[in-house]
Amino acid sequence: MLNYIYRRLVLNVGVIYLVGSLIFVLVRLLPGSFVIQRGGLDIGGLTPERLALANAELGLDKPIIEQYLTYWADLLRLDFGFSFETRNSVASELIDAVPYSMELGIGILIIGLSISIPVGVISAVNQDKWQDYLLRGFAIIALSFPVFWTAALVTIFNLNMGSPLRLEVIAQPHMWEDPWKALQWYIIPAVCGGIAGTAAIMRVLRSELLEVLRQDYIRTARSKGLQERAILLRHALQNAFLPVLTLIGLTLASLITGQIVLESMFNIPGIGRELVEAVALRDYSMVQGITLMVASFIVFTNLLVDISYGYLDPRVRFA
Amino acid sequence: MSQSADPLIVDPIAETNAVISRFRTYGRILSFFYRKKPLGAIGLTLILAVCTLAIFAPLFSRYDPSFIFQTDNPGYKTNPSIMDLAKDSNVGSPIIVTQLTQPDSEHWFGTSRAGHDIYARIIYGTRTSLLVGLIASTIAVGLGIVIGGATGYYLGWLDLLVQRLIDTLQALPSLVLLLLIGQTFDASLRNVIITMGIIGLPITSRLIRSAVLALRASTFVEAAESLGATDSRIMFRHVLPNIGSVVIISFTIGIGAYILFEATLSFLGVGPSGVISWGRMVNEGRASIDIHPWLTVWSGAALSLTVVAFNLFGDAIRDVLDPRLRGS
Amino acid sequence: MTERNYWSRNRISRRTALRSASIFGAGLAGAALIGCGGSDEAEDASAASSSSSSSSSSSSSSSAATSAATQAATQAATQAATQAAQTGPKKGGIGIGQSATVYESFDAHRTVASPVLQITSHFQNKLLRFSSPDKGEVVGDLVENWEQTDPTTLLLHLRKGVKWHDEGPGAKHPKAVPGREFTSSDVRWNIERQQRGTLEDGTEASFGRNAYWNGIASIDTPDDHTVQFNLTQIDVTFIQGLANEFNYMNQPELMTAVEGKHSEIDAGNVIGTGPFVLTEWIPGERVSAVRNPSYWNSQKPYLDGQVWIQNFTDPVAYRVAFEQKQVMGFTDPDPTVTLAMNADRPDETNVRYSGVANTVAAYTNTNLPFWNDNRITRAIDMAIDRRLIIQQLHGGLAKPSGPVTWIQDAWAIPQEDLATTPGYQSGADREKDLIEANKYWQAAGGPGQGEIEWTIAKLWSDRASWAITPDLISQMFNDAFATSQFKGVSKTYGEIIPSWFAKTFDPFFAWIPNIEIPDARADMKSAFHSTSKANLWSVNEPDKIDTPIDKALSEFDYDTAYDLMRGVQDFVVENGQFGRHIAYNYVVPALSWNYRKMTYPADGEGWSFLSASLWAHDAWIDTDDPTWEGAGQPTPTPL
Repeated sequence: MLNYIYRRLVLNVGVIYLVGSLIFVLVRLLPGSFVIQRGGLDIGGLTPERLALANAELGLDKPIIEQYLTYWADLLRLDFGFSFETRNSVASELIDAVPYSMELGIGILIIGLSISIPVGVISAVNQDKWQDYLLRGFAIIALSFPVFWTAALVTIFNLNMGSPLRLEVIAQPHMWEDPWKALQWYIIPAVCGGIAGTAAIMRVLRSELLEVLRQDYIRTARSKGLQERAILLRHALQNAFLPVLTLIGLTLASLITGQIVLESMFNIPGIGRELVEAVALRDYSMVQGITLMVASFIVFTNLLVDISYGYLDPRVRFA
Repeated sequence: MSQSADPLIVDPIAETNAVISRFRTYGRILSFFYRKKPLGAIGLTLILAVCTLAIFAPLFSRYDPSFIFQTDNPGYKTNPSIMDLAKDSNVGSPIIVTQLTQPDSEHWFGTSRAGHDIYARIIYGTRTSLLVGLIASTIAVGLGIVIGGATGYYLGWLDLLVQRLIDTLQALPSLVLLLLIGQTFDASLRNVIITMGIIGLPITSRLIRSAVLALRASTFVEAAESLGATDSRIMFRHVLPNIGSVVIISFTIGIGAYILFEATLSFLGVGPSGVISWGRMVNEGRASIDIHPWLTVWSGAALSLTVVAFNLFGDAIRDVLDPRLRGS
Repeated sequence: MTERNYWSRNRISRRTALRSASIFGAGLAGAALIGCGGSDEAEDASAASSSSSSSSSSSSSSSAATSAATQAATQAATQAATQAAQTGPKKGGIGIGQSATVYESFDAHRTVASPVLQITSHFQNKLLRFSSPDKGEVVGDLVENWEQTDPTTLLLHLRKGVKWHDEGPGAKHPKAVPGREFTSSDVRWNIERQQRGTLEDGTEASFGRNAYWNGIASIDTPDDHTVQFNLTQIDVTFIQGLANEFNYMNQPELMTAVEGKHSEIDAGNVIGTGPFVLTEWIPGERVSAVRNPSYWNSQKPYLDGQVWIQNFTDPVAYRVAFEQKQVMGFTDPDPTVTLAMNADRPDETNVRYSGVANTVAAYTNTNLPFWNDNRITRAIDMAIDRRLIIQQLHGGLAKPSGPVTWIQDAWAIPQEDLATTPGYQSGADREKDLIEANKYWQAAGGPGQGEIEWTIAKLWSDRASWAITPDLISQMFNDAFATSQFKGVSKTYGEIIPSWFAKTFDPFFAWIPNIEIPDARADMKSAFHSTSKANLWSVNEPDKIDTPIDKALSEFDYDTAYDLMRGVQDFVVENGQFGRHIAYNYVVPALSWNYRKMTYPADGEGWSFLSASLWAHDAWIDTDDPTWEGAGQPTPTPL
């Protein structure tokens, strides 16, 4: 078990190294650069001298190999550099942005799970009956709308009906600062995102449940005369939940990544929006910092999920 | 995957052929499918309808989708003041573009800001969407077969290395990749499709790799090996034919997702340019959905209906092909 | 001669207005003090509104045939003005607005994008400012009054007791000199800097508006509060140039220290003498300013502070934010959206139309092979379907413009003449144009050019209502030349502008930044004179352009000057505008909640970018208005 964890950790570190290197190259492939994007607007243009000067300020004048080595040397000291745009450290920018993304992400997850679990169970238990068709139809339809469209629809009709739900532009309260205001703000994006995310979880849960329900031990339980309800809750659901856990882990990761679309629509200053802005401005260290953070989150979530498998399911052995 | 107790007796190829022969005629497959999977049948019908629209778009569309409808303006004044324009915005134009008109008998779905017939654009938009969905999914699955197949079969250092690359690709948020690639190269339809295919690669290659892995461990492959079959023979005769269901499932399920993804790209401003795209139509009018709903409602409906169709069909296909899900 | 409302005064009245603005007019030498020292007539509300109502009444009285509609408009304006006079602007409240994220530099002298001037105008002053940009009337800002001692000498008498901010992040910069008095040497430094076009250390940073200043022979500072400009020749537009919306006064000490980092947008890098002190400037996020407690004009500003939110660009977010009163104003590229929102709340919101900066052009690069072929330039100019784009992208709220936009209508080619000019026509006449355009296109080898990328500014095509522009522009050219070579792509200004000034740009379609003062002579010089740095097309026509423009610039008589400029414009149009194909100028309706107040020139008409400095002084919030209920009030970062 420990061996497995060590091995995975080493592999994960390798993956993060690859992600960091890939993003280092990809951002530099973007046409233009921060200096051009910003200073290039200077009327009269950037003379080569000014371009060089400005690049030197940002450390972009050094040979690419040296930049690359400095980048990794800094990363090893957990120094993500500073945002070209705001001159704050990338870490502090992330510390500001992550809570917003997390609040939205957790909201989406809560709504997504509270819909998808009952729906998945009901539709598995009633396989190929009308309940199954209805619920799966619903899930598939929910999966089939672009979220920016449904969110716009909901927002504008909500507005026209004069409901108290708001979009916060002036002050952007956290859940723990002003729960009521934050709730009014997060509820629409959380519902829209949650419903859209429901389908995937519901599908996996349904198919896992179907498989588990055909297992011998369920048959045994039935023959013992256990109530269907108990079989479902005590035996089936517990076992079917493992793959769902993987999916939730992945979803969680993508939620922390930030819902780029919902964040820009609802003016939530989270990771996703920071990232879009950073890409547009060629703010290399911000793009690198955010991507690395998200990637680390994804690989370690996966690891955690896999480890929790071992504890939850004695059949799983780590090789 | 099918496994057999005695590898020397059961020939998997023959077994597969036997399965297929059960559905020798397409008619029988279809009727089976329609009886057993009504949701999937609805999806399939819709897909066939969308494909028909795409292929025969000129027959259905009534107008050229880029024709700009305009009329002469009898009330044209050469030099109106700003406040004259404020009262009648067309007064300064010798021509009036038929823009933002509500659906009527002339323009079934109304007209756009630019004076295009929305109905015609929706019909032609099927081509873009289908192209995006089908080709991106083909790329993802095709590359997935090559990569997943090779790594799952040969394992070893190749597998270790390639899997880490796949991990890397998966750990990068897909929208980041798209933003980066979309801004590095021009956002032509071709580039967008290729990028989306690459983004789908981790999932398809994983699925195919584990399927191959399972087959690799199966006894009939072992038997073939012990009989001295070459790698390529095992690969093409024994492994690939048996991952068909995984391939078909990931292909169909992928299509809907890519079509939807293209719409999100339009929202982010990196969608394909120079083509008629439902996603962009939806995005253009979403802020005024209560003011001129026809700008987004039809395109949104067309987009969602197509995605629903592929999702329904994909789900049904999975139900049929995935043995774990075969009901009673 | 028929239009009598405020916006479209007939040429005579507009001409009179412009003439009065030209301080070097012969008859004005005696009455040189039209700056009305000290008590700028816009200082208090009653004066402002009376000036507003008098201007509308004078324009209507000068007209015998006033239509009923415009009369009503004038009445409404007068009524509104009277109302404003009764209630009077109140002090207090925080302004909040949305602002585009195109602040590329804090240095107004070097910025190309005008939105940053919204910010600059709050914390810095100009020497003079337009009290009415449309009429070209100027009043003193940092200048108390001015006089002309001989035709080429201008004396500015500076206001006394004006101090640089002594609080705020800028004042805390180690190189800043907070609280110092504003003196004539500051003026000299600022003007010489723009004229010279280099930074203090001599680095070339070509300040693009050098055309306004290159007629200055020398600047003297006889004392701390007097600046003397000695010009090489008479320049009638010089006074307006001083009021040019980019001519803000920087503190030399601080600017010298930070000008090398002009793109480091930070409140700590700027200091001014203005009505507000900038307290926070987070690029792409939020800007906040608070009232300058020691402002030299104790009446102004009315607002306690101003906050701009930069970080929401989504059209749905913007709309919702407005409807929930979290921002005070709203505008969308599609006028029907703004108008429909107004129609929903007719008694709570008001719409105003403004333009000026919204001049749109298609550019081709005459410095490059193929594009430097005059036949191609003309073919493109004729192929631009101005009438169609006006309808498609602006719902008709625009008029085609020649080299001088119709907003500067005292100088522009009249719409009647444009209507018969190739490239501006419609229907059968356009078909004839296209046949000719195709001849040029074929003759110059257009079909052999391969794919032609036509760039659209991303800032433009990112707006959902305009997202289709790249396709429309390429379709327009493809239809005109019966080809499929043209392809629309969108690029950021960051990609476009460097290539622009390097003169290597691809053809593109975007706003044009050259409209800076109402007198179009200076703008034309800036764009086409061989000595101007903004002449990106390397136009070099000494006889046909330079000489007549120079002559016009020193011409007192409007008619003579107009004829000279008209000759230049006709020549430019005949040459396909040399690749700077100005297409049209549009106006946009802007929606405001009724509690947001400003003294406007007339009913339905709004100020715009040439009047950024008016907003800082004159905007106020009416807390008695019923719509004030529930309006969001942000907290600006305190001093």
